[in-house]
Amino acid sequence: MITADFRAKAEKEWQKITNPSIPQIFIGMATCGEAAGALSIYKSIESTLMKNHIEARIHKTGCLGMCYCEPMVDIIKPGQPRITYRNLEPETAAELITDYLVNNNYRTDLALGAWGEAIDGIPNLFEIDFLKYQERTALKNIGVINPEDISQYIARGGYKGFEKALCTQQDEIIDEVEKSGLRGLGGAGFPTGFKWKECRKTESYPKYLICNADEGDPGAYMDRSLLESDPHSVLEGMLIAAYAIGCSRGFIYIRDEYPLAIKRVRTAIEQMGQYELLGENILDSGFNFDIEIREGAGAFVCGEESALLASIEGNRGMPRHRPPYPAESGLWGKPTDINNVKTLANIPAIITNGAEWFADRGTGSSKGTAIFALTGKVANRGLIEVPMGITLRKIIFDIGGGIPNGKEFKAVQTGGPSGGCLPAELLELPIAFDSLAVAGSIMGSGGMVVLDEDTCMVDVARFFLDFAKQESCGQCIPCRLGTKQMFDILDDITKGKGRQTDIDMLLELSESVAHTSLCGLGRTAPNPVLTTLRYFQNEYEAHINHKRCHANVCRLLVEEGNIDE
Amino acid sequence: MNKIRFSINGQQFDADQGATIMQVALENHIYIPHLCYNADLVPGGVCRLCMVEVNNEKIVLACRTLAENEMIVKTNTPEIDAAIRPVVELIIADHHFTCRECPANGKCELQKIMAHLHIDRRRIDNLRPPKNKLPLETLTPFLYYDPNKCVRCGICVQTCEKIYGASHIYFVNRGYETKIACFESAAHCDFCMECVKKCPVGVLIPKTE
Amino acid sequence: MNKIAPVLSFFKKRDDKPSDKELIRENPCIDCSLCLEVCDKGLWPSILLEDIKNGRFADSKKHGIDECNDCGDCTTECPMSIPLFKYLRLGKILSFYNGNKSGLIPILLELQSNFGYLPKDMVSHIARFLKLPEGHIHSVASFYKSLRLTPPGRRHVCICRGTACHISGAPQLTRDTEKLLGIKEGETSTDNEYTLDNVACVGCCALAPVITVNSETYGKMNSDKVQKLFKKTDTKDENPG
Repeated sequence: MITADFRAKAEKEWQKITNPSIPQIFIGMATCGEAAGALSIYKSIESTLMKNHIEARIHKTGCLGMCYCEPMVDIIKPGQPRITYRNLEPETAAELITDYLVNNNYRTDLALGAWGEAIDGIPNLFEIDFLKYQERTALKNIGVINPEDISQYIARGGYKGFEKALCTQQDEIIDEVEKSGLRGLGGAGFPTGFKWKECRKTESYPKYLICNADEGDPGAYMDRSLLESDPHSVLEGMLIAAYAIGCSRGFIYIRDEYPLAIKRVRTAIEQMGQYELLGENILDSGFNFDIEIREGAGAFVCGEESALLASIEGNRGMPRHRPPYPAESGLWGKPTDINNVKTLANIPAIITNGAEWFADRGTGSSKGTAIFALTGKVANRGLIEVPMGITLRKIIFDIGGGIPNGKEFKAVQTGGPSGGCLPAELLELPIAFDSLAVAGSIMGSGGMVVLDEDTCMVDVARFFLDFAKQESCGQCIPCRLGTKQMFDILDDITKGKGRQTDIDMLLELSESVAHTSLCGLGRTAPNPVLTTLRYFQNEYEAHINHKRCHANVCRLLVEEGNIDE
Repeated sequence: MNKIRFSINGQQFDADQGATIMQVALENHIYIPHLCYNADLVPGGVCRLCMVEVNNEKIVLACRTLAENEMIVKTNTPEIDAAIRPVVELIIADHHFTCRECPANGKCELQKIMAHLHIDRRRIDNLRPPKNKLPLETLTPFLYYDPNKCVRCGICVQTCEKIYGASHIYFVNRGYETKIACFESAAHCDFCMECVKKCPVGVLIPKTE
Repeated sequence: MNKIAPVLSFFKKRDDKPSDKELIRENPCIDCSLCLEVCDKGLWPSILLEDIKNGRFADSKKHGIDECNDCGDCTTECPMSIPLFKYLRLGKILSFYNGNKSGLIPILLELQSNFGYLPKDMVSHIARFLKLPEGHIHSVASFYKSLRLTPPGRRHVCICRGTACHISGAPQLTRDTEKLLGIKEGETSTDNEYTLDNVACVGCCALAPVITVNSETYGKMNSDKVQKLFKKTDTKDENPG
């Protein structure tokens, strides 16, 4: 067990941070924060502290998910609540330090919110629109703790779920997960408990567990944020899953485009080793488990389970035929359980709080919460965790703050290249696995890109088919040639060379590619075309018949069209 | 070995247990369109053309599905046609047609499929052909490779691997750019011609004629 | 696992010496043992080189390859200009692996993070180490977008083509950058200064559109910022350090 001693020590340490005797400064240092300039903020704050001889402790945290406010800094002054400051520049950060820490000026103009009660014109952080409607379970620690310090995670109740699991029968754990109704949050939405059960049932050893962090969807970064800001929650989920299924070796497959996430997970794994949470005889329970990091090498298709396995084995990342499913014959022919980062991050909370607690939220067959990366033409861009069943309108207009610059909302794209574009008529649609599927899109791994009136839907379809064409593994003919042909047709349409037959041709090709492709990539690749045709056919017709692009995106259309005529 | 009895297109057939639908069908002269299937090799199931309907409910690949007792197989339902016809059209639109000069003319699997499905050439005009013709490539010291005709079925790669243990030719690149290539090891190619014989569309052209 | 710092800059300086590649093939070592003399760690680089070239990785471990601290003195001192350092680095990378096929992609990624690309002669050593045909490695390397078989420019510019970046103007950004650098996407400039590529999505969608230059991320880009970015990095390089 993680000794009570150690937990108490970690909690005491955390007390010292949240209720400090010297100021505590938290700087959001995930990739997005760093890209927004967090490093120069860090340097500026450090030098200001030195200059003014202020004794303070700087923590590097992950990202709170409020990317539109990056770079962000939190400050806890002794006797004061934690206050979050937004959109800082190196200069304003330096001012903030002197004003707040030396002159006791709250700098309300820079503040975003206070953690707890509102003070002096600074609102309660959790009452502002972006956070008010969210219910954070998997994301509860992001931006709060230092992801490179396991004791902060433990102080916030970390590894309690795993400890509880170790005292529970394996079958009971799986039952609990099954009862909770948790479904895979990587895209397909397969019931997690069932997957575990199948893998546990298979009589072949060793068994492997893989955490799929090959988040290739363009426009989605939930997994990256989670791994960069709270890697231990995912790793704890892996431990519980491995214990329940009986896996002896685990892999976490991360894209190499996410170097910071890889670094943080590596640190976290090292720390787990130090606290006997990995290796042989974990916490004296007789359970052995090890986690290895595998880097993806830039292939979207490796997010597909069987292609991921091929990649780990050292082959071209080409999907295999299923059945047999990985739960029966996966990595090196052994039973393998593959779960997404977000699915695993939900596990500790389910075990700690029970299945009923989890199943209480959500609707129908979609339980719990959904995590989205809200991006595109929306005012408040960031990472959100909302209960299933919330409407698109609530997400985009209440949490997201609507469309900036007074533009009109046109569509929202969910599910990345496998998903579709939903128009304004569907804004009241509750978010759930089934409802999105009916509308022609998918839940996907959680990318949600808002499109405004300046976006051409044909161009969006063309963009996704370009992506599918580039990322197709090239193994099966429908996907290899179909995505290319559809891209060529769409490309022609955006260039004003569309033909009358093109819409019918696209529909026919879409159906065929969706039905005949080998893997999920090919089967879902036509979705962007199908949904844009379903909801925005008039735009296609305008492009083909009148050589006009309403959004003025397809500029070549106008120029070349005129020349041709 | 246990015998099973099942039906293809309403006709009853006896077969050994463990035989695939494709094997039984071809043995009994029922044609199921296929490009990547070769009786000597493990079915790759990548051309996706050999779809058949099983027990009036699901569509499966004939080359990878074992025949079962009392199974009802149909090879020519409208659903199957709607699914595979566009795929064949895609291949033809992408295929560089010089049938008359092609060494595979007459024994080409693609010609066979076109005849079988009565492919309408006019529909193919609605598709976009490849923008440029790729040059003939030297694959091994003895072979040319025509990337314009290749359907990337993988039969040649598998054949070579089966004969030599480690293949001399490999798939390179990915997606639409996938093609067959060779590396230094191809110097060991001793011109057994097996890959040329098995190629369904005449992509591999021996240098010595 | 230890990540070894890139040696790219070191080799960039030496690339003008044409002899490297030809010499290594014919084993030009004259047994002068100068490399032994200069090695701080008391290693014998030319012996290690023999181990690595002949695929005796267990021996190279025995001869202390793990202790090499990448100072590069042996290579500078070698009168025959044998790129010892390069091979020691390869040996060191491989010494972390056990020769299983599943190590292939991690090895290739690590090799690339060291050399910037996958040098052909290195690939054949890896093939021997993993007991795989060389063709398999080429086949795998050409499949994955992150792996490259040709050397990139000194600045590897990647434009994100994520959805958020696309609708926020990534296509225009690509055109601007192409014009500015005078190369098309996927190309390397003739002076080996820039390589322009795209990347699937770097996951900074809130900062769209995004450009990365040698894994540094720049958010909220536009035409002006692109101009400034490449100007700025240009001047920075004139005063190194």
